[in-house]
Amino acid sequence: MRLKFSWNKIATYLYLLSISTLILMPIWWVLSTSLRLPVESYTLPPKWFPTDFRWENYYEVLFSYYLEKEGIFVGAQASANVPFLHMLRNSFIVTFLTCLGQVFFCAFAGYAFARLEFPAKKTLFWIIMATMMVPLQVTIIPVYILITKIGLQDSLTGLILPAIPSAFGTFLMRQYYLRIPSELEEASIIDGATQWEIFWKVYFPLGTPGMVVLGILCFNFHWNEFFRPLIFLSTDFNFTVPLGVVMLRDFKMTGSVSVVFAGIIFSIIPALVIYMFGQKHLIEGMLTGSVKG
Amino acid sequence: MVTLQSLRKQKARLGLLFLTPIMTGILVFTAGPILFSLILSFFYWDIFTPMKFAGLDNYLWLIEDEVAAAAFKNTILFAIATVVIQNTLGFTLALSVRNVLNKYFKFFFRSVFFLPLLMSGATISVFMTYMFNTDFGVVNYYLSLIGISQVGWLTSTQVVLITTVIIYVWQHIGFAFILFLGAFSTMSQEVLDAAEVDGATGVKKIWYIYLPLVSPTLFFASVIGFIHAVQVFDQPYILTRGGPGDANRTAVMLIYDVAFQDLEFGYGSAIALALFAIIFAATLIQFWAQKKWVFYE
Repeated sequence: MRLKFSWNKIATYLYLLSISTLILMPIWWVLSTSLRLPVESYTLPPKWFPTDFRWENYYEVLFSYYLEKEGIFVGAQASANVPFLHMLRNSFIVTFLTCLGQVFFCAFAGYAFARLEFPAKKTLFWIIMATMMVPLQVTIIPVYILITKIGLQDSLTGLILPAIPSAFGTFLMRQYYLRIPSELEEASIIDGATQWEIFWKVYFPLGTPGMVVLGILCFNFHWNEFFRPLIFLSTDFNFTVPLGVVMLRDFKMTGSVSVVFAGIIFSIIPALVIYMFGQKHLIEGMLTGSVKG
Repeated sequence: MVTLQSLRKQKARLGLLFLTPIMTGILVFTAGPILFSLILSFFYWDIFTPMKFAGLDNYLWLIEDEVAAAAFKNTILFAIATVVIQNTLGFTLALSVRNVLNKYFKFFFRSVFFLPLLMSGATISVFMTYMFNTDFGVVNYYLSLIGISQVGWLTSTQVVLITTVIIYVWQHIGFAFILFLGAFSTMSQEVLDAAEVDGATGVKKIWYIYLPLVSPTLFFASVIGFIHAVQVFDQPYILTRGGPGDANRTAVMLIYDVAFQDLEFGYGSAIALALFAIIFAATLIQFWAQKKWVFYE
């Protein structure tokens, strides 16, 4: 009995370790390759440990486009054709503003559905829930036509604006406000608070955990988003990071793959940072958020 | 002094004020476009020339279009394969992690399985292009050591969809895993103890105890996994632009090509709605199937 038990244990650990290895190896390979010299950037058999630590790859992926424009040649690097620094900036702007807008407006709407009474409340809630089930592909054509008609195509605004009204975010915030006991509201009314004050001074601060979850999920989604930017944007100066990474690969030619991989590392880091600070929130949000199509 | 009536008025006013931004946004950017898509699917339109009524032409075209048939077939196969593999891996991994007692190891495995979910499909596809390269790829190098030579991961029409499945599953293992881990943690210890007393061990215990107990989660993970997978775009688009031939073309890639490359917005809308119909039908079927076999405690 004892022997069998320990065999089980060994098998369990072997299974977990082998799958972990399969997940970590490619990421590790990208990291160690991103630090290689151009001549060694792509070797077989693959080298698994960085030997040269060529940090210039990271410098080049950010700046070689601009150096080239200044007339300083940086070698046949993919990044000479890709304004990657601009794209990082664009991604930060798009992600930050989208999430800020989502968190605030969804908090308002979620609160309205959870705690306020107004005409047609049920109908309006039903409409919002129904739109949540429809995938992005159904709306993308009309939305593209719309932002083209109002002159927002190929702009960051055109990417941000349609992403702010989130049905899922409204639903999530409503759930959070429903969890907060309504006695707080009654107590505030007795103290003479107006409805606005009840929201702003009592519920809004108490809803922070919900806003954090929504913010993290929103960040993760929009930082990594590819489909909409690919369709909406057409000038490389307006591109976001995922488009930039693909562009780096397509422009590699004879350049160093290490520079491409340095760009990949830049695209992963913000998501990693968010993960480290908000692992719990992210998992919680994904469990709730998975309802979304 | 606050009267009940003035309170109600205040609430209604603030409620409508709070709702206006989101409601306007959803009407303009989601609800409106859904209706417009529906209308558009009965028209020919390329934005530049006036809309022309097409009747059912776009839908008839969709039925006859061979590229569309290939794309939808790929999409369905892809979704079924990823759902089955993801759930098998997610279930067994969660079961294994549950048996790990050391809390640091537990944290380590959980973090690792979750890690690829944070990365974009675009980024993953880019470095996977290099890994799965036929001549210079890391994968083929190690396969050659065990005597398997030159698999055309991204160049063979037979293999490319399998490659996309592998890469997609690699990214999404953590999703089913986290769902199952959550389900296991809420399972009652008494049932497990009772089973053990009755002599259920090993595979038997998994099959007769664990699996039925987490069947609501299995069902949920399958529906959501399917809905996500039929919308796959980033991976096949970046890996091979849908090729070679149409071997890696999916439904959403078809929408992209038809609407945004060929500017046939009517036909594109018809395809999008067909995809939506599949998602909707799958959800209904699985909800119905659930009643038959899911065990609720």
